[in-house]
Amino acid sequence: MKGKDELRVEEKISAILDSYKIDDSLDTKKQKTKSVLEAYLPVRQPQHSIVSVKVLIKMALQELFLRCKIQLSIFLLVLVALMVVIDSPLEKYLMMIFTAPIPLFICFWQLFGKYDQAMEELEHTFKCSFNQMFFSKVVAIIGIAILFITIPAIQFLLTGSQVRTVELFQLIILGLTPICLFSLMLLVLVTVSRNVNIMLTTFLIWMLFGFSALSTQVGELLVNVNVIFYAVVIVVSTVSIILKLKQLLQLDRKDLMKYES
Amino acid sequence: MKDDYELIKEIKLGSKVAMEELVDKYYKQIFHYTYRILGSYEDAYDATQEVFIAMMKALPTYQEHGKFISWLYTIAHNRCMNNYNKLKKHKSELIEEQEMSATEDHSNQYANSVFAKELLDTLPKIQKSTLILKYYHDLTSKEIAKITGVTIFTVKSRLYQGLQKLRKTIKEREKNERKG
Repeated sequence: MKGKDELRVEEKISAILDSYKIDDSLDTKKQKTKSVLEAYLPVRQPQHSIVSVKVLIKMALQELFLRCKIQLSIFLLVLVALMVVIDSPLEKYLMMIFTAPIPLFICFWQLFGKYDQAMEELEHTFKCSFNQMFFSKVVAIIGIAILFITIPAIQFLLTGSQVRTVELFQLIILGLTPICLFSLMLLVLVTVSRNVNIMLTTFLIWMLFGFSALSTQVGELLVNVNVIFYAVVIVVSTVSIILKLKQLLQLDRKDLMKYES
Repeated sequence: MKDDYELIKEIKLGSKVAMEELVDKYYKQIFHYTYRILGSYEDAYDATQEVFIAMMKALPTYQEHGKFISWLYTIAHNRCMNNYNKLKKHKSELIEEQEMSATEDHSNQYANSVFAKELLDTLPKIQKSTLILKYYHDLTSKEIAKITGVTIFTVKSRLYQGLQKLRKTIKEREKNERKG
C-alpha cells in the first residue's frame, strides 16, 4: 500500500515537473545577445601569403629609408672616408668588423626603440598581423646591414689590385660575423623588451671593445683567428635567426592554417 | 553542421558566423537552465547574456576537456549561484504576481508551471540546480558533479534529498487539500 502511494507521488512529481513549461520565443533576446557578443569577437586576421610578406618587406624598406636616411647617409660617408684614409689592411679589417653592426643599431633603434605602447597598439590594429610586420622589419634591417658590408668589400676590390680571393672571402666572413651575432641579439632584445637603453648600452659596450681592440693586440688576434671559426659562428647565428623569425611568423599562421582548412 | 571544436576555433579567429551558430545552438539550453534557477524571464535573459559574454572572454584560454556545453553549464551555474541570493527577494514578489495572473488567466497549464516553480523553490539552491540539471537537461551525475564542482556521491545525495523533500511537500499539500 505504502509502495503504491510512493509510486503515485513519484508520478505526480514527474507530472508537475513536466508541466513546467517555458516561453520559447527567444529570438529577439537571442539577436540582442549576438549583437552584444560581436564586440567581444577578436579582430579577424587577414589571410597572409608570401606575396603579402614581400610587400611588407618592401614597405619596411621604404620606412627604413624614410626614418633612417640621414643617419645611414652619415654612416656611409664616414665609412667611405675611413676606408680611404686608413692604409693598413689590418686596420681596414678591424674597422669593417666594428662598424658592421652600426646600421643594425641605427635601424633597430629607429624602427623599434622609439616606439611607445601606443604605437604598438596601433600596429596591432593595422591590417597585417603584428608578427608579419615585425618579421618584415627585421628582414629589411638585416638586409640593409648586409648591404653596407659590401661597400668596404667593393672598395677593397676596386683599390687593392693585390687583394686575393681568399682575403676577400675572409673579409666578408669577418664582416658578417658581428652582423649575424648582433642581429640575433637585437632580435631577442626587441622581442622581449623594446628598451632603448639596453640597445644603447650594448652599442656602447661594442664600440668600447672595438676601440680597445684597435689600440691593443686583441684586434690582430681577432683577425688571425681561423676563418672557419667565424663561419661556424655565422651559420649558428643565422640558423638561430631563421628559427626565431619562423617562430614569430608561425605564431598566427598555425591558427590560420587550421581555420583555412 | 560544424562541431563545437571547429566553431570555437573559428570564433577565436574572429568569425561572426561561428559565434552566431554557437549561440543558436546553446542559447535555449542555457536560458532554460538560468530561468529555472532564477525564476524570472528578465533575470534569466540577463544571466544568459552574461554567460555568453563570459564564454567569449574565456574562449581564448579555453581548452577542450569534455563537452563544451558542460563548460557553458559550469559558467551558467556559477553565475546563477552568485545571483541567486541577490534575486531571491525580487523573485518572491514576482511569483506572487505570476500567481495572481495565473488565477486571472485560468490557464491550467500556466498554473501548473507556477506550481512546479513553487515546488522547486522549496528546495535549497544547490539541490534545486542539481535536480534541474538532472531532470530537465538529462545530464549524468558525473557531468553534474563536474559542473557544480562536487563529487558524484554529493550529487547523488543532493538528488535523493531533493526528491525526498519534493515528496514531502506534495504529501503535505495533498493533506492540506483534503482538510480544506
